[in-house]
Formats: sequence, structure tokens, C-alpha cells
Amino acid sequence: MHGVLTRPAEGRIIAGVCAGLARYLGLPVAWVRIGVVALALFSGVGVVFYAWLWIFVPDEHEAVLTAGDPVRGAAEQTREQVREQARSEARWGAVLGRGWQVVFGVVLLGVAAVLGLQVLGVQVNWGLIGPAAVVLLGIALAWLQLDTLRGAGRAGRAGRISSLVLGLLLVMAGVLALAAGFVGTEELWLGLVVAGVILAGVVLVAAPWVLKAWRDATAKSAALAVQTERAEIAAHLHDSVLQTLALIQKNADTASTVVRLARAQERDLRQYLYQDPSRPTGSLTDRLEDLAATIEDDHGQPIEVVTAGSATGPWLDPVLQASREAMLNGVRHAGPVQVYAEARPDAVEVFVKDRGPGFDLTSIPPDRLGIRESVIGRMERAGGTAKIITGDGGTEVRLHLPVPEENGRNGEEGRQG
Amino acid sequence: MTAGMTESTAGRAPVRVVIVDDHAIFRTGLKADLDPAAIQVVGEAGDVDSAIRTIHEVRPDVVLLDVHLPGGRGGGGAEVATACQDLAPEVRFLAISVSDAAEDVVAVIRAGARGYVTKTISGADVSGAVQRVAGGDAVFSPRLAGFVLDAFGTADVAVRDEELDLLSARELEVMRLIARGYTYKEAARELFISVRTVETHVSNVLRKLQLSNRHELTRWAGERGLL
Repeated sequence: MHGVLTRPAEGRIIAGVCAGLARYLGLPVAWVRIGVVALALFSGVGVVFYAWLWIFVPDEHEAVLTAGDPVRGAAEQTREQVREQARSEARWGAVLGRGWQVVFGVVLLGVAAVLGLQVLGVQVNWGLIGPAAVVLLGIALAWLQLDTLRGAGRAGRAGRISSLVLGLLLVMAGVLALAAGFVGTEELWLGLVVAGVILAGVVLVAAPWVLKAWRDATAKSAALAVQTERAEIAAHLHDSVLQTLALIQKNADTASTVVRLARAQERDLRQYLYQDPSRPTGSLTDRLEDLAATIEDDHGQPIEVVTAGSATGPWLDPVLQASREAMLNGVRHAGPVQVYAEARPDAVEVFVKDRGPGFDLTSIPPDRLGIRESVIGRMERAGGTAKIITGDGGTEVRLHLPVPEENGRNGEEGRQG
Repeated sequence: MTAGMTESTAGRAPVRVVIVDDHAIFRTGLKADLDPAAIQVVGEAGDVDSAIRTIHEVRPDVVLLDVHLPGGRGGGGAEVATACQDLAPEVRFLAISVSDAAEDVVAVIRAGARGYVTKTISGADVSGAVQRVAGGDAVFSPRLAGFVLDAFGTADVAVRDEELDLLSARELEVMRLIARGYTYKEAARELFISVRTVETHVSNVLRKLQLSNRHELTRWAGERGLL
């Protein structure tokens, strides 16, 4: 089974319909061909079936988008193309946007001209002018929709199609009224039938071309979208990754700088690749990661942040500031730091752990504000708690902050969202 | 298997490992990093199809499996693990990834991988993780534990339809300690239980992660591109 039914480029006899069908159904090509020929011989159904598939099954190449030029060239080229397209669209939009006023003015002018002629004593044939005006109005109505049809949303589209049909009906009614002035009813009906048959023939012949043109256009606009995206990615990579790589080459001798640059770039790229732009910012996770990123950049020690649940709001400030202080202490005195934050309906907890030598809490001089004031004091003033467990296996700072009463509901919503 | 990972390697045949990653430079680096006394690299592969072939040929103890791989039906590491399920439980998988995207990691775990570590892990740590997986245990990085806590809910008391959708209070505690950066040994000391019990809890969480069919798990993974 081959994913999509297409007509392959190779192994075709007429248009590749049988080959494509065989590939799609997983049957030998010979069977399919014999079947179609047999159908064609017995009733002609095979021919119709073949022609129908020829029209509606796309060529293999139409499905595959051309890869385009190398990224750097594509960026410039695509921007130029987009600009060009925008320009031409703006031009047409301006002309067509005024279309209604133009039509209305022309109609008024026409009526005035006819009335003027009548006043001057010229014999006016209303049987001729009336239908002609209706035809013109219909044409104007139909053509006006050409450009706007494309960009319109689903709702606007329906309205436009109905006015297109209305225009078409107006034209037909006008033409029939005109013709009725010259020929009898009987001939008119006969003529209508003949015209219908001819029209059907034309449609039959032209349909494949129209369809092909339409498919080409679709493939082209998809390719353009891909190119635009590539251009955007290329621009981002140029501004970030290439610059960092250049910096790394310059600083190849200092390992710590290289590591710091690489980590900062990794973080930036990760955010660019995986960040969901629709996600609201300012959550506990975002703010912790921002803090960790800044400290990483300043001190060159990795900080891994893991979070579960989510919470937002200014009431998080104390716990975030205390976390920052704890992380700073960790990277300064111990090395790599592991941060885990958990937002629950009733409270937020943050754990900051390092694997340093540990320290004696009581031996910290009272004038050292770091731990005592900015971690423990800050948490207690905010109504939370801070515990510091330190020993041979490293140090862990445990912060606990209950969700304030008025925020209880918000906290819960944030968690589920 | 005995408690610590170091004791378990003494006097044992080295663990036979296949490395699957599409970047040759990373395979080479990882090979050089692995502890040669405990681990023997018996094969390498760079895409889905050759990985499935190689694993069936050499039947290693552990496959170090990158989450993102070209080839096959586009399923990456999860596709390899699924295609090799006939070799279970002799061949075990340890996912190794640079992506951190929750849906990737959860996909490969649900395909049968016994654990997940990030590519920035040190050589000693990855050697330890390989031995742990070879011994039949699960390996959770802090980040994977964070995924689990986020997916199954952090509240201890929760009403769910199925037993599989619920982590026990003890399992939650173990997950939380791992997310905080505790080793199994440290977690055991913190909870006053044996390392063996911690390992059992982690294996149970892994099983629930793999077997739970709650649709929220998939939806959850999709919603969070990165945590």
C-alpha cells in the first residue's frame, strides 16, 4: 500500500493511471491494465474510468515540492517574491475595492444618458437596452468576486460564491431576453439545447487543463510558504548559532567559556525549537528557567530545572527570589545544581540541590545575609518555610509557600490548564 | 541484582551494548565515554531499519537508543523499540535524547524502553544506567520523573477510573526525590527503605507509564512541547 494515489513518473504507458493504481492497491500492474482494457472493450466504461482518474489523480511530481535553493540564497529570493506578490495584490485590491462604487456610477451614468436621449426625442428601444444592461451588471457582479474569493474566510466565501452565481444568472437571463427579441420561442429552446451540448463539450475538453493549472498554482503557493519558513529559520540560525560558533572558535583555549557559550546557545535553540508560542509566559516554570539561565550565564555552572504542575501570579515572587539565592549559593560553592519545582493546588514547593561539600549552618557569621535573610527570612515573611539540609552528599534548600487564600482558585485553574 | 551499581559489575561478563544514533560523531564519543571494563559495544546503527536488523543479529543486552532517528516509517526510536519487542526481555532499551520534548520521551518509553537519560549525561553515569537497565531495573532521570509527576498529577489523593492511572503515595514520593536529583540510594535513605524497594517502586511507575491507556497521557504529552 502506497500512502497517496498518484500517477508515477516511470513505468507509464499512457498517463500512468494503471501504474499508480497498481502501486496504491498493491496489485501487479499487468492485472490492473488487463482489467481496464477488458472494461473498455466490453462497454467503454474502462475508457471513462481511465479518463476520470487521469483528470483527478495528481502527477507524482505535483505532490513533491521542489526543495528550492540552498538556504542562504532562498532567504533573499523568497523575501523578494513575497514583496512582489504583496505589491501586486495591493494594486489589484485597490482597484477592485472601489469596484462597487464604479459599477454604481456607471449604472447611474447609463440611465442618465438614456433618459437624456429620450428627452432629446431619440426613439429608445427598451427591449434592447434593458437586457444589455442586465448582462453588463451580471458580468460586473461576477468579475468583482474573482480576486476577493481567494483570500476570504469560509463565511465570506459562501456569500461571494452566491453573488458569483447571481451574476451568472443575470447574464444568462439578459442574453435570453435579448435573443427572444430576434427569434421565436421554439428556435430559442432548440438553440439552448445546442448551446448546452457545446458548452458541455468545451468543459470536457478544458477541464483537465483548468485542473492542472489549479494544481500547479496550489503546489507553487505551498512551495512559497515552505521557502518563507526556511528563510525565517535561516535568519534565526544566522543570528544565533553561527555567531556563537564564531565566538567558540575564538575562545577555543578557555574550556569554561566554550562550555558556557555552548550551554547558552543550546538553551536558546531549544527554546526556539520546542517552545509553544501559544503558551502563556510568566508561569513558575518560565520564571525559574529564566533565573537559572541568567545564573548559568554568569557562573558557567549547569542548572537543570524540572517542574510539575504550573502556577502564575505575583504571589510567587518571594519563592522565586529565594530560589534564585539558593541557586546562586549552589553554583558559587558547589557546582552543578538540580532544581525541582512543584505547583500543587494548595502550595508551591521548590527544591534546590547541589553535590558540594556542604557547610555548617551555625558557622555562618550573622552579617552574611545570603542564606539567613534572603532565603529563610524572605520565605517566613511571605508565610512560607525554608529548610536547609546540608551534609556530605551536598546541600538541599527546600522552599514551601502556601497558595494565598484569594489566589486559591487561580492556582487550581493554572494547574489544570 | 545487588543494591549498588558498582557491586553488581564485579566479576561479571561485560554488558553487550548496541548504540543507535544517527550522528556518527555522537556514537564515537559515547563509545569512548563508556566504561570499557563493564561495557562492550557490539554494534552500531544510524537509522531505524539498520537498527532493527543489527539488534536482531547481535542480540545485545542493552540498546542505547536515540529518540530521533531517520528511516523506517518515521517513528524514530519508538519504532525500533516496537519492532524489537519479540526479543524482550533479553534485549532491553535505554532511551538517550537531546530533545527533552515530553511527547518524544513518553513515546519511546511507552514503546518499551526501560529508561531515559539526556545526551549531556557523563560517561560514568551512562555506564551506570546501562548496567542498571541490563539488570532489569528502570532508569529515571530527574526530567523523566518530572514528566511523570506532571502527567499523573502531583496530588496524592486523586480519583481515577483505573488502578493503572494512579500512582501510590510511595511511588509519588520516590518520583519526587528523583526529580529533586536524588540517587536511588539517597532516596532509599531519605524514605527509610531499601534500595531494592526504591527500584521496585520505579519499575512499577515505569510499568504504569507503559500500560496506562488514559488518553490524557497522550494529550498531556502533546500539550507540553518542552518542560
